[in-house]
Amino acid sequence: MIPSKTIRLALLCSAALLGIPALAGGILSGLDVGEPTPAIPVVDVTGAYAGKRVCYVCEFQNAPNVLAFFRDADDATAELIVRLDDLYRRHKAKDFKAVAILIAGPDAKPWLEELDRSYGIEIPLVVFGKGPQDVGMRLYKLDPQVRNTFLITVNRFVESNVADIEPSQFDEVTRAASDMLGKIGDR
Amino acid sequence: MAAVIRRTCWLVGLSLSAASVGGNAPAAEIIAAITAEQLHALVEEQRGKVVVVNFWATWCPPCLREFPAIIDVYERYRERGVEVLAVSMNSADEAEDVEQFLATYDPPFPVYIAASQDKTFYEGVLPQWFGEMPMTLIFDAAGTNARVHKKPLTHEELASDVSALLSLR
Repeated sequence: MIPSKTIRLALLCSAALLGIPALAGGILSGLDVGEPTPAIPVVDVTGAYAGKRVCYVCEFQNAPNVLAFFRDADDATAELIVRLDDLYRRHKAKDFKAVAILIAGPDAKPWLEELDRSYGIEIPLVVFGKGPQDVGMRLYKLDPQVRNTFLITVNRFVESNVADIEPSQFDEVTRAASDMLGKIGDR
Repeated sequence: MAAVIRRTCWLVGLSLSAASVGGNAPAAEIIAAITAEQLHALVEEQRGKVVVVNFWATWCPPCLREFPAIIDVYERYRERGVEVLAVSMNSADEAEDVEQFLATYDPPFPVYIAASQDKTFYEGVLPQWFGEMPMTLIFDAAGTNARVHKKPLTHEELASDVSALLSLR
């Protein structure tokens, strides 16, 4: 089927040239599915280790979890964090974990504290100690231009990557987390 | 075995030989940086003993919870031929945290800091290691890497491994 192969190749090349990674089969930001999640120290703002540098990836060990990275301290991020917290509350009995990481760095601390006060967030809210220059950006292959990156992981490997979504698209994260938890339940 | 390295200051990049020989007075007062190759050489020097190598960091909560068990197992088994090497994965700008950690636990075995905190170091230590922590390797008397634990160990788990490997000598 040479013609269809050629068309497919042409479409992929066009997508790549137009900078549409999703169409080209790539990802927008973050580690790809199947990649391991390395240890990553962050500064805890509202969690059990508030005020300290801590590695939640280490703390979670092999538990199913969502590592959520956010670029901006804005309304859309607030809504996504509230939804992520709700997801956590619904599944925490299954040892499910989640953490929200503001890549803006320590400047976002007051905003996170206010968010925690306003909504009683249970998941830890943390920041990159060195902001966008933090080693975590490189370790997790985060694109600083992308608004958010959700890594759905278990046994310290990425199961799904959902990136650059609006709050109205949070169902994608919910679905990915449910799929992961379902798989664990089946094992 | 290298002289036990104590710490009152931070010196990344110090050559392991200078630190471990102990001939220079300052060597007994520093934490030496160690590369993966140097670590393997240190383990090799201990052939005939069971060697536990533990990788930890001050920001790794399970590492902190595990550390007292490592000290305890070392103290219980060292007379029977067990050595422990602890390697911090903290970066150079976390010196104060490391100081505080060591002051709290006062480990009776040598403590080093990884010369780099990246893939080169991880893979140099163990090809299948991508930086999970804590991580513990246990080498048998022949110098073979007999156990790999990419999780915090309980006192019982570590004692059981060490005891089993000692009995094979």
